[in-house]
Amino acid sequence: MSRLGNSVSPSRAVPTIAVGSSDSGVGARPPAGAGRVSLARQTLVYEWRRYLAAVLAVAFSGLLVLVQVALLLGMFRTVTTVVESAGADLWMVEPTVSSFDLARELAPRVENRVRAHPAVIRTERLNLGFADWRGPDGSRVAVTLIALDVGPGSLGFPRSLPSALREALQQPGAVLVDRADVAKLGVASRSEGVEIDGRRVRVAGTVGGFRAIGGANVFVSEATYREIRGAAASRDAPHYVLAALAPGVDPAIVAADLQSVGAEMFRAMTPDALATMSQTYWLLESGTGAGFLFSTVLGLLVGVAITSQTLRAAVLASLREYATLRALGVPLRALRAVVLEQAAWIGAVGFVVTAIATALVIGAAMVAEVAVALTWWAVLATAIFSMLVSVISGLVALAPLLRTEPAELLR
Amino acid sequence: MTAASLIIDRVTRSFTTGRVTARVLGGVSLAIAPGEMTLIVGPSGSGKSTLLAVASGLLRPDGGSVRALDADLWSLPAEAIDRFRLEHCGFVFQGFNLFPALTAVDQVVLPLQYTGLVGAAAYARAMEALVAVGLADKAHLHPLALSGGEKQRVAVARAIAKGPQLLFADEPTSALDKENGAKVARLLHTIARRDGATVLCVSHDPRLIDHADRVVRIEDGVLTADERNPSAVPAPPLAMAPPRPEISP
Repeated sequence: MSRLGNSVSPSRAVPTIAVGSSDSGVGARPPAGAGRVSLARQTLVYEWRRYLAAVLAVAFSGLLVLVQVALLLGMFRTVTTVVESAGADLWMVEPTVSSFDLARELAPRVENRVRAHPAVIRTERLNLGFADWRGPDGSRVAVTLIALDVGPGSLGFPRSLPSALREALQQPGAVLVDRADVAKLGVASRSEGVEIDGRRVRVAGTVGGFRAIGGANVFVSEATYREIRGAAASRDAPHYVLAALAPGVDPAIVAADLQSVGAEMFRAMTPDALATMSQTYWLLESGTGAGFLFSTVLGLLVGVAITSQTLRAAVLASLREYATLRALGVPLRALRAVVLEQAAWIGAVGFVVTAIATALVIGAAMVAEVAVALTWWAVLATAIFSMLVSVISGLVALAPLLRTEPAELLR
Repeated sequence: MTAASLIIDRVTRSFTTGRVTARVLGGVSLAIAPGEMTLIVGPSGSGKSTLLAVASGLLRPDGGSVRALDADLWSLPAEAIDRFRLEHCGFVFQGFNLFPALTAVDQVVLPLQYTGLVGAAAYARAMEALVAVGLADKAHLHPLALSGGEKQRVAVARAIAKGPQLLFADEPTSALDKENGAKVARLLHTIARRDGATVLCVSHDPRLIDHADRVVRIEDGVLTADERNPSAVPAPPLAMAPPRPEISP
């Protein structure tokens, strides 16, 4: 063979040449239909220890946000548990009230006005009152009295509770407290010897799920309420009027009807509308919302700081390999896509860890009777948040890649 | 002699560090032919690597031009230069620059994917290249499990898998022992002879001289010698590769 005789190969074939001892033929055939080589995924799997810190950073910033949301929603929901568990179709609310717990007195004639509507089959009153609790051991707690109609078919009494408890409230001086507040109220072992505003009362039973943010909720009958309040309750002005409607009637239509005759005296609201208004008020007006926003941004920054550093270190460690790909003509945007894909995977895996950890934390909170609540939109928002943390981190980590000059390899 | 495939014409290049400007290339002209291995030798700092970078579309010269495969390389926009390298150029560097997470065959498949070759076709092409460098039985290994010589042969396979017309190598043997260095040198020489590729190599490794068809010396940014090497070690016998279709980028 002449030295140049074989120099032109029309197919630009790869030369086959025996080098050393490893010419034993094809040793590792790829599987048929082998897919694409994914530098992003294969690196994540192969060097998972390197990326673990980033996954945990995303997971914990997600956990921070989600647990906060759950606690806030749970806390705000305690404000409206009474509304949501009552059986009323409509609630008459004093027009300037912005949250259920900040009740104001309605005009005494509101109840008659509502009862006059043909679709209304039953009305009831509900009063809230702040009072001073004195336990058998002398402990003092500021409590909220929830005064209800405790007759058969009560609209105000929580549907989740057995009617035996409702009947227990019919006894003069009987009250119900939440299980979670028993120790605080000093009635863990004794139910006698309690005074509210100086009037002797008796704990007739305990309920679950009505723990208050501060103080304690105490259920009483209207008669007991008047007994405790004395002259202060004699004006016959309820805080809320509850209405049950005939079956098949649309509450929205009746609410509009009632509104047209009594707009200056009350607002007619469905339980959902009253609950949403109250929770929104707490979220936006109480300062807790702003605090939540602040710590969410903090979580974002911490997540981005750790995740971007991890990705950046990974990019720097492979800078020469990336530069070699650049030399071989792979465009910069393809390399950027590798880093962003890694970031997206870190975000996705991080969110899965968040979800598992959140489930554990929420479970523990429920066991401890801490009010927590989660909604689908909070979970979705946290998933987006996790992606945001990782994609911002990926963009930050791109910086060294942009400075990659393949010519640097030639020095 | 065949018409030159790479024509470097009065190329100049300076580097500025702080207030000091150093002229690294002082008007170098060189025509390089396909089908042979051209070796540029010179002491460190002589400008040989800068010349390679300018010739291969990696570093823009201050003056002069580079004509590669009938394209005026440095008059093209940046994306077109990337494209040119993707379609026509292979590179081998002193450091092997393999991704730790990829197996040998995946190292070779990865850049092929960007030429539009994917799936089984890309794997088949990559395996051909690994067969060519004698590493078919190590295709499934990660760099951690490969010796230095084997890593450099994977890097060569990565460079030649797309069948480049221009193959650039910067100190390809400097990090290798004698035996492995000779293997890689023979490979590069064979690629030139067998495929008619233009192989341009820079090195200060005297062992490479024996394998080069032409040796160009550079000192202080100017060419000082340009010799044919009649005693070049003949390219080793070739085993025919099975016919296969062209890459269609």
